[in-house]
Amino acid sequence: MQSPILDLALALGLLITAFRALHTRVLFTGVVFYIAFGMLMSLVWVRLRAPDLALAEASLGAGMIGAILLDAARALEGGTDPVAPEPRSRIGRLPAAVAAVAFTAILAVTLLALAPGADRGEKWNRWTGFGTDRTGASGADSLRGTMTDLGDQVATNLSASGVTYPVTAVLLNFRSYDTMLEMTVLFLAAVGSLMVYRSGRQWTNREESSGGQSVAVSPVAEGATRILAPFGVLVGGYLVWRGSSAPGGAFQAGAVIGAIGVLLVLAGLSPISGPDARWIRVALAAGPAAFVLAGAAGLASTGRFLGFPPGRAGTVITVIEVAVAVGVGVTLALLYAGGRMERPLARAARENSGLAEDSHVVDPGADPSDRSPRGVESSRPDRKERQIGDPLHDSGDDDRGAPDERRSNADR
Amino acid sequence: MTFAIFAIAAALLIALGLHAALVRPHFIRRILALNVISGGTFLLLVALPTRETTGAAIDDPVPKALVLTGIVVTVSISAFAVTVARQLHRITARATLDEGNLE
Repeated sequence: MQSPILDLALALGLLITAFRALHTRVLFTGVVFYIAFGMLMSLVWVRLRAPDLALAEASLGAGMIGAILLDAARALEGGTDPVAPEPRSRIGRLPAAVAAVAFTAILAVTLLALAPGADRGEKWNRWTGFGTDRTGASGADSLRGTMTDLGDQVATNLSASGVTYPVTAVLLNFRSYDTMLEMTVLFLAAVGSLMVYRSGRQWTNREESSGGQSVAVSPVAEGATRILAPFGVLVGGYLVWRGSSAPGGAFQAGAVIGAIGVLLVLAGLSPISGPDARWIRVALAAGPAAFVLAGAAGLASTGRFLGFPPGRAGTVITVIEVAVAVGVGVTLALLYAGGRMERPLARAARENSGLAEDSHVVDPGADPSDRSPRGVESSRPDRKERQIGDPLHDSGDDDRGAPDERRSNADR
Repeated sequence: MTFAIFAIAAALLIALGLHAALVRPHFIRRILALNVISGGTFLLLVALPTRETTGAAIDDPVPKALVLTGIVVTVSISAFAVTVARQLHRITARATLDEGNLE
């Protein structure tokens, strides 16, 4: 449907929100603008007839990464004074702008030369190097000649793939190798994060970490989450099932389950009590393991790794999708939950230095202007001389206790 | 050239993100900039082959599947980068690796 006004408005919205996300003074505001950017991008995917991308962008690209970045922005902002400037890079603004514009110009020239039916004349060919050689063949033509029309191949083989929706067929049958590697990347990100969480022995037991030293949860949030969580799992299951014939699929379902995990953490009902829980490891490994097992079974039955037996492909795909959805959901929830579990000793040390604590209690009685000197103090170099504590060598006994005891521990 | 408007916007997004990644050394800003570059790249991948008419033979599902994979990978790597940045901040109380102009 032709609608240039809508497309123009969406494109302008993308550019404006991206610019504001990157260049507002307050980091938290920037992250909020990034979430808006993600939602506008989701609408652009709808305009480009890619509804699965719209689902994935809204849930993952705007929702999940937005939640993680909001937490991180508050933790790393170092104070709520919006006037304190961020450190400036040694790369000047002008060279960076020149580099960015030059890169974009090269990109634009290359893409315009690759556009079908592009014959822009002798001068263009000479200046851009896409000219013709002595035999009359053009570089761009030969490049274009190597691009096969994969869409036709997918349409031809769709009936044999086990599903009826082309994007799902590509993801889980024709290019299932790429999806297996994608699950491996997700798994590695989770394992890497677990290594970081465990190195500081940050996670206390469940009652302390989620029970609410610093989380003030309203009963409305907790009650609503208790009601919503099962529906979220239901929606996830529906998306997995629907993905075989309509937009949907395992990754979108995993994002919804991850969002339920985020809600549970926010409501103080987090099921993730520590990085050592065995069910977490099983769930994290479920995605890649399902692929490897399916691949090995395919190797045994058809002689090719990830070769699905004809007629059984639909079943295999569904099993893989369920495992992927669970794995992605638990991974995302873990990546969010880990950011909330802060080492109490570090928090006490930060209290000593007067930094605003990584807390979620909004105290209406506190004077906001009190925080500005703390914000400046946090980034002075002499802050390092305080006993922040080495996460590798501190004992875990400091984790318990009332704030006063923690303060005296930090003063050692 | 029907969806050229999105292709141009995508190229501008890549330029914006590249500039910000170079100029802003704060961890979270850099992660935001990299995410903007990724968004621009995905937009480019999908907007270029999209044509005005619709139909099974014309709507190529392969770039959409590629971009879906790309979105998931970007989210997971950004989350891991955030974890590492937060740990670095806990240990050293710094929000950037650049010595440039710490105030």
